[in-house]
Amino acid sequence: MIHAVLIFNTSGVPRLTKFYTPLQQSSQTLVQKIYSLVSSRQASLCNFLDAPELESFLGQTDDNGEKLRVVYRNYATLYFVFVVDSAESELGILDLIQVFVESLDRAFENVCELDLVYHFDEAHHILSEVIQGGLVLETNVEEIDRAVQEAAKARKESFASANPLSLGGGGVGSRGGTLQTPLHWITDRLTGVRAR
Amino acid sequence: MDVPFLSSGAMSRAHYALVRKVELATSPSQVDQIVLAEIETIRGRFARSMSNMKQAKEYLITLLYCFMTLESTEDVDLEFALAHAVNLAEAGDTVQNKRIGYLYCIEMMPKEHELQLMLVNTLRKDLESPDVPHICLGLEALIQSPSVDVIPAVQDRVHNLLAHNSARVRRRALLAFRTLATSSPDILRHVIDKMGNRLRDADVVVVGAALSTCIPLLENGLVAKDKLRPLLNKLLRTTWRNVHDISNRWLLMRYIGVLRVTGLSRDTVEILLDIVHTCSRHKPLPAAIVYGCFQVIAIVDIGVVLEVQSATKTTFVASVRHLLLSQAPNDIYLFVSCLDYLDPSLWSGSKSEIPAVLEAWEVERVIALLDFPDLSIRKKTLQVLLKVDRSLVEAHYTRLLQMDRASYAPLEKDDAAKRILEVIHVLTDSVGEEYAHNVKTLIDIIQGDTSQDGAVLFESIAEDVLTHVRNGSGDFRSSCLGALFVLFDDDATKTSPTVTVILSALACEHLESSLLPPSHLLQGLASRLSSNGGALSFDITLPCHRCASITAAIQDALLLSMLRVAAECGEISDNILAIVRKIQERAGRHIRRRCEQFISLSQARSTLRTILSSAESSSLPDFMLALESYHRDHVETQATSPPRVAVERPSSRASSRASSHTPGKLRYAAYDSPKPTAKLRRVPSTSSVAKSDSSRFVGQDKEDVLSRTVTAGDLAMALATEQIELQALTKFPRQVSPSGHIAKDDSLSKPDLIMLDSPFLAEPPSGLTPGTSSVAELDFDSVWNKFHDANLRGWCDSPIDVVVRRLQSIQRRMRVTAADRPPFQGDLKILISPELLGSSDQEGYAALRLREGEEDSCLWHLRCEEGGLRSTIRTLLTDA
Repeated sequence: MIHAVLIFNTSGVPRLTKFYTPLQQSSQTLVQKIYSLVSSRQASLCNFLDAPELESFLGQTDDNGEKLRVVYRNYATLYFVFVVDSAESELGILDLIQVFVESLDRAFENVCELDLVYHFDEAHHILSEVIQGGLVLETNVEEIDRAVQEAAKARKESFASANPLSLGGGGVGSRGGTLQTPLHWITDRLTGVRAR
Repeated sequence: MDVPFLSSGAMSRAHYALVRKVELATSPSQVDQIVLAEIETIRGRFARSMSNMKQAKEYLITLLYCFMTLESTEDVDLEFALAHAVNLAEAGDTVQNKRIGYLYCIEMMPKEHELQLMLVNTLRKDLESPDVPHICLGLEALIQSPSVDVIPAVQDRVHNLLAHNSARVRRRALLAFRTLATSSPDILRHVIDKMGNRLRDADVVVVGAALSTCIPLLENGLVAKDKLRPLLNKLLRTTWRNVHDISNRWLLMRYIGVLRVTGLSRDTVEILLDIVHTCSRHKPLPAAIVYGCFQVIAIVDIGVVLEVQSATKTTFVASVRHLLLSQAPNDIYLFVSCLDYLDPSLWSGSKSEIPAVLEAWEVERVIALLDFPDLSIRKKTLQVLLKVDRSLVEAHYTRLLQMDRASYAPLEKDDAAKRILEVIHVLTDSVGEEYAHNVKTLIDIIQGDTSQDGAVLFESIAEDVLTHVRNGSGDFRSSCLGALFVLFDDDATKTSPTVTVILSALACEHLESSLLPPSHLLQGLASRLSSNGGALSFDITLPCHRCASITAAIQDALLLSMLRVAAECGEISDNILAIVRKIQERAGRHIRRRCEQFISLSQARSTLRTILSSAESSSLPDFMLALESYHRDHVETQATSPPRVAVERPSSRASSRASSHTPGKLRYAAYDSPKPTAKLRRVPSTSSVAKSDSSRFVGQDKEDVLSRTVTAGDLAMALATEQIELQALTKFPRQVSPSGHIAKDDSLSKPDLIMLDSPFLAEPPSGLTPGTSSVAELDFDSVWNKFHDANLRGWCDSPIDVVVRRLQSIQRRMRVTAADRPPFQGDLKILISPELLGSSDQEGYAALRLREGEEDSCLWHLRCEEGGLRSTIRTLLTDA
């Protein structure tokens, strides 16, 4: 089962948090804990790690007594993190993160961090098309996109698509100054270089 | 953040203004201030008038954003908006508005809230709706907040929806049953009759959802595995033959997931081999499918696998052997995982009748993975090799033990020790005695490596051992404790600091499982206390500050453990009390206080038992918290001596406030100047972990993550705080205030418990320990200007953080000033000063500027007059 989906930026500021298991402690401390686990990892390490220390947050291990795992990918300024138990394959979850990011990209056209900040509700909706109650609902990007489009026809255009020339510009906020950097998932895929 | 409103995508001007203010805030407290003000504004608006749907939706989204953004959500009550959320979910004019209503309720409504009933009613109405989006919305709400109470209200309708025309509804209905089954498995009986059709559904996503629902059906014995297996095998075969590519990888993964529960036939093994073979040639590699196939093969009889392999003239391992050459750590993980799932005789050539699949160089490469940087890969490799041949792992263990660690820095030694412990865990499995013996050997060797610096306490070893013993089975624990407590009979002066801390913590935590009489344990602990008060603190070859810290840490652990053991003893012998008094005479404030506690409480068994019963667990830190709490409540309140700073209870923020400001008293003196606040909103990882970890040792807010269960190993962890903070400074330089001191955010500016009560910092300055920091006497600028004739420059091929870490190994005091602070803005400034200050103005000082270069390099500029130090630093900077 998927216990949590978190998106935070490279400074540890949360952009989306969704928990499928009741939290035993505050979500802020959990995000910080996971940020500290993930942000220090180098590219020479796998995109997943055992995190038994998260038990006290999510309050359980699975039936086999196996520990929780953190599966993550880093796209540009954002970390996409899934906390799962051993019923889920860590390699399958990596694929699922890619599906989620592609779906966000379809919805926002060249998705960037700023889209998640201003379209907080939309990001939640897209996530709910991919995962329901900690279980995978849909993995077909076309289908997810269709559902999202149907539900929100009047959605405003993303900042990146509306202002292609201003990419990388703008002032620097203290919570991170690269909010408009596209995630470049497609480039990564075409060149065969996996996102971290 | 200079995004114009029109192109930002914000819902409204107010939303835009809020996000902008939050994103541009310069400190966490400022963010909280902005957000709390916004919450109050929305509360007022909700209270004043009935908002329209659009406004209500906007406010709810803003509140959700506020909740996520707040640094501290304690005392923040967002329930005032629940009624509006339920209303929006019920009467929302669009599906999108209703969705936000549901989202708010799911995220914010407590399980037993009175409005749950209304929500169930709304949900039922949506399920009854003829409109597909409404039904989907209702089903999603059901999946996200399943409860036993809702089942009778929705069960029949959801059952009917299993056969709805829309595939979107069908798959959500299946998942709803699956989630409802977690609290009430019997509900799945209602889906059995529909499962056959859903598994043959025209829509593959519905089939996927049906396969997910099959798992709890099988696990709860509602459907016989034998009954479902033929159908699944047939469906998998059809799917694979029809599709014969991996475009439908998710469906394949679902099949594989269910096959793990049902088992599989020979035919299916053949299909899986074909899938593995096809996938392994596909780019990009569908790793999850390959992984899943090997997971299933693990449950198949080796004879069947061999039969299929010989019939198809291909092997499972041969299909994935190319992954061993991959540069991607995930691929290597996949490869070792595949090997781990297979019987080793299928590939290693360990049985003469089965030829080896991997060649010698490939096996060597697998063995080399034992040194791979990733822990998951190392663990898997150890398991694989243990299955192939135990002697391979034993040889690796011996090699690690014999490795020359003389030149390692303490942190590297710690890391090396952790790696050896990984091997010990695998080798000893559940044999406690062997585990204890190996741990003892490891500590002796590692401590032996540090003979010139014998006061090193290997906190990671202590932490690891204590956790492993705690999590072990009863048999493992008792045999391990038996083997370790024998060490109490050894010569106390020869027991290393790490072993002493481990023994103290174990004696406290597992006293009831010990076969040794408590009086014997108490004597053993006392003899170690006696030897610790002597040799270490007067060993002039050790850095004084460090030596005193470690001595105090060990004495603290020993005294606490002795007090715990004393609760189970009759009379405390005079020689033990004499040892404690002797320590008390020459100890610092903290240990003196601990000695007082021992002398006064060791004879009062009933009081000790009261303290023990109030402890959250039997671990040493929890016992200490209980003791401190008792001390605060019963001793300090009666004391007539000048008031001391109270020790905070970990669970109460209110009490911490109360302890720092006595209510009702007028103040005549001016208030302190405001504390500097952090530049960044987030306390960066390392710093926060270090801070929290250290605070956890003494206690902190209950809601705080790190206050959860205070582990015994935290005692040792506290020692590392200094180093970790230094790393944090370099890694997150923006946290340094203009004065060069670490800026503290609100949470950090609260009384630091370690500062107040830690044995490591509370020791008063003595002849051997340096006084309170006088580093500030010389700042970077003055040292830099003073050494203008002693310049060295160069390029370093490592990034700045690596350089700083390297510099820590020279065991000097370091003060780091961030690049964006004067002087020399753009350069990271490091002032290195001697451990012992005051001998001379210039002796032992060095000033270093680091400027970030391209591709993980940096430009350094050093000024230092002391030849030895200069060459040491130059060597560190030039040896990449």
